[in-house]
Amino acid sequence: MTSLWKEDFCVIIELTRETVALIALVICLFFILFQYIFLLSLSHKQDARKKRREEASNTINEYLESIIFAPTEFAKDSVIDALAGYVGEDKLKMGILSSRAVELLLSDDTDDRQKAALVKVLEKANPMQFYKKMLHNGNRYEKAYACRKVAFFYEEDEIPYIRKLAKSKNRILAYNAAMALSVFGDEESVADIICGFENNYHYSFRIIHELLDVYSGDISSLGRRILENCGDYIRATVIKKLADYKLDEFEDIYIKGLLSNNVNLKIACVQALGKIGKPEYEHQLITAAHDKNWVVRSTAVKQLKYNTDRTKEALVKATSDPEWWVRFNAAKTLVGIDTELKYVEKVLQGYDRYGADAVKYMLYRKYSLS
Amino acid sequence: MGYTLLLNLIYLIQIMVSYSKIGRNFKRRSVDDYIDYVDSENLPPISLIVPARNEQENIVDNIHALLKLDYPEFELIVVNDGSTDQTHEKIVNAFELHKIEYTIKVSLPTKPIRGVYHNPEYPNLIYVEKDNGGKSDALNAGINMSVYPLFVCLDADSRLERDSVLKLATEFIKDSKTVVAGGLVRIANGSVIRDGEWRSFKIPDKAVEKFQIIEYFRAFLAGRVSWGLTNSLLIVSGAFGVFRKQTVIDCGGYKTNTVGEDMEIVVNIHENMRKAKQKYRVVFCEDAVCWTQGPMSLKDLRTQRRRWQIGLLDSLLQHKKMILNPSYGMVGMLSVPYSWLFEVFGAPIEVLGYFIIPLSLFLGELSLYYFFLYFILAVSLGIIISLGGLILEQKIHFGRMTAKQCRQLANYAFLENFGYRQCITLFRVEGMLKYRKLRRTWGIIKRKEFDR
Repeated sequence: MTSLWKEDFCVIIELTRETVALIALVICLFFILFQYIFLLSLSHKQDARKKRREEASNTINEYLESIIFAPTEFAKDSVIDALAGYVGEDKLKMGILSSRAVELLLSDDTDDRQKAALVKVLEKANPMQFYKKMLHNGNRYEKAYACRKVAFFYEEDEIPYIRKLAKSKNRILAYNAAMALSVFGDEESVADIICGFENNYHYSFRIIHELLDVYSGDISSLGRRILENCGDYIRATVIKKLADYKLDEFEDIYIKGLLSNNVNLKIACVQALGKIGKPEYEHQLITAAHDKNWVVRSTAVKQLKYNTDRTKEALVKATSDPEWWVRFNAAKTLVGIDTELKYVEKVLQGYDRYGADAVKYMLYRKYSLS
Repeated sequence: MGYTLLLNLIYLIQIMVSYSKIGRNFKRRSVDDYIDYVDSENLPPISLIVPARNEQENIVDNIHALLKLDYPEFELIVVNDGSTDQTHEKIVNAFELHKIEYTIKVSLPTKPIRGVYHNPEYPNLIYVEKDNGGKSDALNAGINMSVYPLFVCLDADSRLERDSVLKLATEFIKDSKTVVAGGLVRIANGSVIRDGEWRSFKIPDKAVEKFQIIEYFRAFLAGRVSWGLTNSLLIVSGAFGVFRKQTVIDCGGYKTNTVGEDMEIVVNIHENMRKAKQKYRVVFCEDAVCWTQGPMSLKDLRTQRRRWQIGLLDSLLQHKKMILNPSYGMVGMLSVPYSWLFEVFGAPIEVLGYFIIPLSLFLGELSLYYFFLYFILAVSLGIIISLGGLILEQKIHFGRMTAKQCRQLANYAFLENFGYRQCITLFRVEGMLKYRKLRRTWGIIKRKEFDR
């Protein structure tokens, strides 16, 4: 009996195995068929999409050309109506039209009459309304896209809604909303957003620089607001960017920052003072060139571009620094400012081989020596 | 059979996960403003390091193409690793370079440098001639020479698309924890390359090249996208990857005692960062494309795949303490064991199957019916995975491949499982058997000048 059951059991296992294998095979074959059909349909869809994009781009370019070079106002208006009808509410066509029209508007080759025609096109096609609709009704990616477009067309009515989007947990949406608010010049919101990055090291500091770059309001007022309310990390990051604007109203903050224990803040302040470049900062920068931190020294020697003997002496000394980057940057700056090569020669004839090597390298890079 | 089923099930899961991720990435890219960064001073400056040895056919064209990259601030460092052909003469003559006195910060030991060449008319270009030390050594020399915080490692025959570097560099802006970003490598064989730039995709004539195209889609788009999600990607292609320079220096740079330097550096970074308990990211960006020449013959393919398997085994052996070690997180618990189980042992198990199954059939242990059933099942699973790779390619790269080309390649996705995959498996096993003998050997792969 037991052996009969064993035999039956083996037969059942065998049948089950066979059935499972057959079912698996059938499923696989159907899946392959499904994949093949899906692949072909996807590839045709992508082909059609590419073709559609090319067609839309060519058609819109033709329309715009006809509008720009239309012989009469009536002809121009007819073509504008036709273009607006062609674009309709299509996202792809609207995107192509708005970017192409703006590109032509900003081009130096477009004269005033043509620019007026392009403005008329934008009024008729009304991309602003289209993007406003997308901002409120689209998915998060469409909202993010619409944020930038709405900011580009300066639809200030949407600022309150975009402020809400800037608080979104979705980083893409929050980032694009933040950029939009910056374009609008919304000082309070931008300052809050930037100060909020203090505890969020997720974003690189370059994001903060991008926000400040596109800011359309009073940058010194924004800077003051942020510097009064933020911690050292944001302060250092913002000062690094404010340095490009060479605002001497923050002079006191920069000089105070040189005494800070925070290395990043010190570096940012050294950069800022160097970019402003007033003669009275020379002493501070030469002092920074002797800082115990090599990054501070390296930054200071990069900024020491004063054409004075004191600066050149300091740079000559820095070419003997134990840290390679300090030597490298000191040599670069020295070769840049010492046009008579008096101090350069001093380094070349000195005993420090490493300093001499750095200076020689810069000379070869700058002048076509062989 | 169970092993095959499990492996293919994992591939299928990877494809589905990648499909979803690629879809989300596509939507995200539609709102990405990376192209605005082209003129931005906020983009981190970058060093492009191109190690070259005996690359006389393509090197000048490639340098010209790289100098035209859409990137605001970069330097191109070409490192001639002791070439024995006309590589040196071609570069020096083409760009009228002169030998200069130089200073170099030696962060990583390398073989001696014979000379540094420069021409102020090409201010971005630095050419370094050094003694032969291998690709890793050349990369380390390039790192020593570079002055920027990020570097891109490129192959001498890589052709980047104009915005590829830009796309990878923005990964470092969007998340400051990013230390490595890998791009997608595609086979350029047959494609139209003009003035060193990729222009359009064409299917190559040879079957071995067509099969490689499908294989690359599968490996990159299914495998790497899904591993990138869990921050446990173990390899970034040596043909195209962006690294944070200081992180690489802190790990001791590229190891010169391996032929799998691309995997070794990434595994090393994982190990060091996790040991130091630092937050970091190793990402894969499927939209940043690099075109490279694949082997054109079975013989060259064998050399390449053998080397890859040796490199894989080497890297995993050097970091064997990571296996199932929870202190290495997902890398130790998931991707390293996976690599051992399927990438290393997969090939010998499969080859064993090639012998055991026919033997069982011959001895009557296995019926002919089951043999065919399992054979068709195994092949079907392989076809599913290959078609999956093609579907992923079509999902992201609209326009690069037409529907007609896709149909043609789909046929090869079927044919791949009747001979090509088996050959690759045999090459991989050969690599493992000759591990000790060929551990330090790169082998020679014939290169062809790209069609103009």
